[in-house]
Amino acid sequence: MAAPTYTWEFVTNLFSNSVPKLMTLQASTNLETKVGTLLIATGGEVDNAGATVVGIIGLAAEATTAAATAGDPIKVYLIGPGMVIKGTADADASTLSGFNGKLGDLNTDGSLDVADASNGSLAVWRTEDAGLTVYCVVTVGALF
Amino acid sequence: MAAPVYTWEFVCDLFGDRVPKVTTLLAAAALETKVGTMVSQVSGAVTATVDGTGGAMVGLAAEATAAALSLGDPIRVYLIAPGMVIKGKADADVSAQSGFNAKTHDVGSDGRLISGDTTGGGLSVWRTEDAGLTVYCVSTVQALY
Repeated sequence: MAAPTYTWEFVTNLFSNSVPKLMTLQASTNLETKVGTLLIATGGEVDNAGATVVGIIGLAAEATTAAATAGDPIKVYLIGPGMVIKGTADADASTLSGFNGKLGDLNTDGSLDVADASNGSLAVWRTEDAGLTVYCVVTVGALF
Repeated sequence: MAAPVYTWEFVCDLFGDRVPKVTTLLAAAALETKVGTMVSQVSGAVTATVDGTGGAMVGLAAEATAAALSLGDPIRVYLIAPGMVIKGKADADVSAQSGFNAKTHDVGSDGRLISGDTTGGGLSVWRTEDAGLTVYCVSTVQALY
């Protein structure tokens, strides 16, 4: 499937000065990414974060040129606890600021689903642009 | 309301050489803190941690308020990460909880670890001193994880 429209980027780390490490993992069937596509780990492979983002592992560090075959290598920036990622929300997310909820979810286009506060693993630190740009931390990742 | 009597302090990091970062968050109405007051994120605002909100702890207040704050006032907070050890007080001997013998200890409205309350919170006791009344804890569940 095509890579999600919206991507994310690492901004800062609230817990230390570490930055995301780059690691090569195995792609799931048909994975397509842009640099910054939010990824989850599932079944030992990485896949696009869709409407259920439990198990976030990181951000794609490369853009694919075609749909991947299962097991193809894909470079991923690993996102750890306290690391802040910046992305786009599908509506004003300002009421979620201040870590007001820990289970924020995504849409299939890669944007934060503001109305869906379950089945995910994102907490909103703060927002900009009338709540449409969000700074989030991952509360439950594939590695923690 | 008045700041809790008992405060906490950062001691060390079991997972590295990190120290808590300070960030400015938004206060809840009537928040009052001392330096070291344990605080939680409730409904997007910083409140003093009390029984039942320990699972949403975010860190320790980095400033003492001069008066009760209004909703949305800035408040500086030391963020506590996994593996960071904080030292505080318990309301009774909790030496039996040493060695990380539970992960969800709670804190009372006076700022002390509640002996016997191992639900609803987010602290684990590494070790104790002073007949179990001084506790060294790590945070296991909180607002950011």
